[in-house]
Amino acid sequence: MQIFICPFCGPRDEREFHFEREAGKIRPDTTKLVSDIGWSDYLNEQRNTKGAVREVWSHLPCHELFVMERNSLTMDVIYSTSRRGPVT
Amino acid sequence: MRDDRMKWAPAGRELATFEGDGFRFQCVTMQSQALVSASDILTRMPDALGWPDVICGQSYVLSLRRDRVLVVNGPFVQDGWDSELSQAVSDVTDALTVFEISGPNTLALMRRGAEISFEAPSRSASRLLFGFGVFAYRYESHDTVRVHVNHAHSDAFAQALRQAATRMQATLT
Amino acid sequence: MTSYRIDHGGLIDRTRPLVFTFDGRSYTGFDGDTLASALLANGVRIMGRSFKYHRPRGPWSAWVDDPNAIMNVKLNGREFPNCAATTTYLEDGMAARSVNAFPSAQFDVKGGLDLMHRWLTAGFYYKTFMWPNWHLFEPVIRKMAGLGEISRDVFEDYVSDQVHDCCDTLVIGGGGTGLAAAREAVETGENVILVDDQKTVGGGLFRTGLIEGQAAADWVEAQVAAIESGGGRVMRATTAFGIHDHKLVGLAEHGKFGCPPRLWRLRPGRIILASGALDRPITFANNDRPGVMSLDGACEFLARYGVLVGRNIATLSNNSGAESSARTLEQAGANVVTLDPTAGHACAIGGKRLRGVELNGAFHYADTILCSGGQTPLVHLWRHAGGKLDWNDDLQAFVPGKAPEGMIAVGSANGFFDLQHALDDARAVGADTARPNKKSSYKLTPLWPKPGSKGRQWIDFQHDVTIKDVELAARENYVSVEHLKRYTTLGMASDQGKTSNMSGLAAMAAVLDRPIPEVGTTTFRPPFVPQPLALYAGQRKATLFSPLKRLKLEPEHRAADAALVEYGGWLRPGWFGSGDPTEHIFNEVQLVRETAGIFDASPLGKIEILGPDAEAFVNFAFYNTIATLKPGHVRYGFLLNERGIVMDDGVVARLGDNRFVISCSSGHVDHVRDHLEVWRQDCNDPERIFVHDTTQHWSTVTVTGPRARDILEKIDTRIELAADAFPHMTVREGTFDGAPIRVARVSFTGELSFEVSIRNTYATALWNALLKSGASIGAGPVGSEAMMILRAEKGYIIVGKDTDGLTMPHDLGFTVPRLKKKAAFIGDRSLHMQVGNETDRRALVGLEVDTGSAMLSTGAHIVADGSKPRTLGYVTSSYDSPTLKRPIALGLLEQGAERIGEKITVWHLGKTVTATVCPPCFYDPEGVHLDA
Repeated sequence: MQIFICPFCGPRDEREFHFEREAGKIRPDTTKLVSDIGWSDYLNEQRNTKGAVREVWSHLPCHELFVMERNSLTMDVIYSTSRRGPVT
Repeated sequence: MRDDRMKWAPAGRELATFEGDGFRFQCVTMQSQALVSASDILTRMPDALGWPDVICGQSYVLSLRRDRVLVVNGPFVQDGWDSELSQAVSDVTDALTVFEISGPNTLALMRRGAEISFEAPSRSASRLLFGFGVFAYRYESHDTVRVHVNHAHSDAFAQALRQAATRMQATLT
Repeated sequence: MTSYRIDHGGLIDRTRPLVFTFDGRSYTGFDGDTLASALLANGVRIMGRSFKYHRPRGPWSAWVDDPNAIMNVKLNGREFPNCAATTTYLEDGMAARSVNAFPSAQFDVKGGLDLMHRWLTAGFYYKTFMWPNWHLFEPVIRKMAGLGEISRDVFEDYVSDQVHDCCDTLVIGGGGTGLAAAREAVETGENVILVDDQKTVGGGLFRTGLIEGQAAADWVEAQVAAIESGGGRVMRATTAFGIHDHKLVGLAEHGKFGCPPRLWRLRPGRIILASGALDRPITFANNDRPGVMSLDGACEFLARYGVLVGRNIATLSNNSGAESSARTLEQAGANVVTLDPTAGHACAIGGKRLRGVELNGAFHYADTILCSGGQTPLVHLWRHAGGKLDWNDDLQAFVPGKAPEGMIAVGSANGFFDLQHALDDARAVGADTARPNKKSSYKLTPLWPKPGSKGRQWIDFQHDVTIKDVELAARENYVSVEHLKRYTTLGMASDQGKTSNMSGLAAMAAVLDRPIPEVGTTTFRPPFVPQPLALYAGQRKATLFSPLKRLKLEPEHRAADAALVEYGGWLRPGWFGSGDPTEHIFNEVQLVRETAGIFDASPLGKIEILGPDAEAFVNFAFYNTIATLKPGHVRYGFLLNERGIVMDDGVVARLGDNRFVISCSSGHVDHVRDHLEVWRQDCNDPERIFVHDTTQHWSTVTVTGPRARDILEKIDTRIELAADAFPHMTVREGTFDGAPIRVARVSFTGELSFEVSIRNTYATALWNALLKSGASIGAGPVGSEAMMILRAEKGYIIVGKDTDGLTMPHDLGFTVPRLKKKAAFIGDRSLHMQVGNETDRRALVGLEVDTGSAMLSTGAHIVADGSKPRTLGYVTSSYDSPTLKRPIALGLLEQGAERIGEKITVWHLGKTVTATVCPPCFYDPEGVHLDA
């Protein structure tokens, strides 16, 4: 089992985590006009890089949604960063 | 549409106390358990503890998330959203069954269900154990652990623990 | 008799004889023997037959690299297939059978297949057995192929313990270098585990004379004592079978025969790989004959088991390590002649019995030919961990190159074949000090398979792959080493190529006239040796495989003779009463329509959304507009995913300005909760929204039917129940027995319904009170099967049954929010993509069969008429309706809304019937009963 890092809970077994999507996508403002291509890219575009990838994961025991950078070849975890800033 | 009443042992049977080689497993009754959520809850409740802190006393607070704790046997608070305190409260007393594992083989038994050690700290008591989402923490002594399990899965969790204990104690020779 | 037990030596306990049988004949061995050593001691050399040609096979070596001696073994009434005789320790009463041979390994009726070898080359089954239909040949081929036979008995207690552990240093291999490294590491204060796959650690040391002045057994004992007294752990009979991501090492700890091994998931700080090296075969004509064995293997049989594999031995070797081995065998009593195979062409003479070896035309009498083609370091685990390999020309072997983080190789696994050098180097690694620089004294003349040379020459002994097969693969352009492997099947037998990989790729290199490192190796994957599936499964089987959630009221249901059935991850009453369910379900449906039914609805989700942004968040999560929902009111709605597909339906109740309860369907609660928790932190402010899943704190009892109010009125809830005070789709709070309750007027049946929720502690009291109250007017408990029919009569959908992975809300008739809702919501833009706008989308419809016809089958296709029928949709729910006294069905149909009244064709398992499309509601379409 791989070890992933939750920004709150620390290093945990990969089975506690759920992959959400590639990082860097911004949901278009659907109250304004959004083109078909724009929406489709948001849903379907994946860079799927060989090497360092930045991904959004959630840690199911605490439901923290965060960004993790990993190496898709070596499986190394490079870092995890919270999307919500430091814990108060 | 198959009648499986014989396939599943009646609910409640697995919850009985059992003992084995270096451990004891039993069910513990809680007065109350309440989820309290607020964006700064951990600042407000600095006594909220995680792993592997040894928690003592009748009433205590578990740190679950950056913005959530479980208050065990605390004073009564009304369910709902408190706009003055900016906090959300929900009574979950009957949602969580609490088990206690004690004895020198407690950690060895838990290691059948998770990669866990007393040397690896975590701010949260929330984790997966035998595939179930639980709250786990040390209680009163260094080799006693309390585990809060979702009520509907308490039979299955106890069954998993019993089987793991049987495997642990079985010799290969 | 060729092989025999000498009267001294070995690590066996000669005071403990054990009796066993092989192919029906009885033999004696000793405690400490393997099946292979015990059989050799009794002069038995033929232990199996090869996979394709059924040629007789004897053991090649003494441990994991043997591809030949495969047996079914039975002990204490349990039989296990395909045990390797060289690694199966002997136990009293064992009954072993050769595989792939009938009636025995010695005399196999299919031995004649070998005469057809010219037509059974590599890949012959890709080119034959095709006309007229390959399916005709498959059953016959299946019967003829394979090794061993699986017992049909189920061993309930064959369950592996699985445990996590960690340490500072893991040493893999308990030979000389492993022991030396482990001892040093322990003495620096590290937490050390040493694993070795044999019962007695020491690796190949017992073949050596003195080690640092001591006899092997004494030296080994001294290291083990030092390791253990220093707090280190020595794990015997434990195989490190794989290194997985993030340096998780899989260990299989073996015990007695028939005991499931224990799985250790070990996370070490660093790994010292001391896994050793294997003696390579030499490829020459008839090199697969019984009696052609590994030189190191023969020395192992002597050192560990006191067995001399032959009396007149010819050795073929190309390296400097062979000389001392030959001398050891001589001292034990064999006549040994040493031959140099690099000088020319060799050929084994003999069939089941070896008569000798011919080298460059000269015949040498021998009953045993021992080969040593050089040492191949065992680098499997190195490669699992991502380590690279370098080709060493002096050693003619792949040795560990660039190391994976936290891993280091020592000893012969690292290409160090001088014992003293290896020990010094291993100690430096163990202590983490500078490694000494020394030159190796090991010498070797390259000797590899020669394509085009005379005779049948074996590369893979178990799968019967010869040099000619490699040449054939090259001719057909399967030149990549990965294609070579799959086309010829070399390296794919149960030994996973331990003896065949090097010869195979060297043969390909020779055919292509390329250097060996350019051809390269195939990918090494765990497990290093075969492991039972039970090792990976652990206790996740039967009721622990996918454990169901249990109801608080289950004891009450059992007492009421409920049939308990799995629904959406819960164990729930399907119906009440024993025997044939049809009548029970029928009666329960009628009971609800005429009087009232009492139903355990506890699994319904109760996910609370709290906070100042709760309203905005619920409005964002739902397709429907929730912002206008007033406190005390309940609204039905859909949760969509970002692709606009209906994920779940349910009702939302507003309890206050900043408090909502989402009552999603029972089987989807976990999924919905996780979905909401993610979105709360995405495009929303999590400091102002909190998700509390309180589902399991509550039990819910639903009273549904025209007399529901009467039942509830008899128990004291402090709630005004009259229709004007408590309208449909509203929620009220009250108490029962001092405990707070929530009552929602929500209906899944189309009848007047009250869903009463109370905390679990009081559930039994509530249930019993309602049942008692209900009994007085003839009402009683009803199960899920009746509920399924009742809701279908109303056309109420079940998401995932009446909807699929393409269904959007406007397909279900809910069109308004898609056109009118201004606020953003999950999935909004997807509803207007091209696919959402298509005019032929499948919509929810009702289906009526012709009068007197049977009900439709769920999943039946609705097809277009014509010579090539096309699927237009399918039947999603179908029941015999007790209420309407005829069959009813729901389905998804292209342009369904426009086809009301049309006659359509329904196809199922080759038969067609007609049906009529109708609106998806068969009972009380005005909803008069709901508003009662």
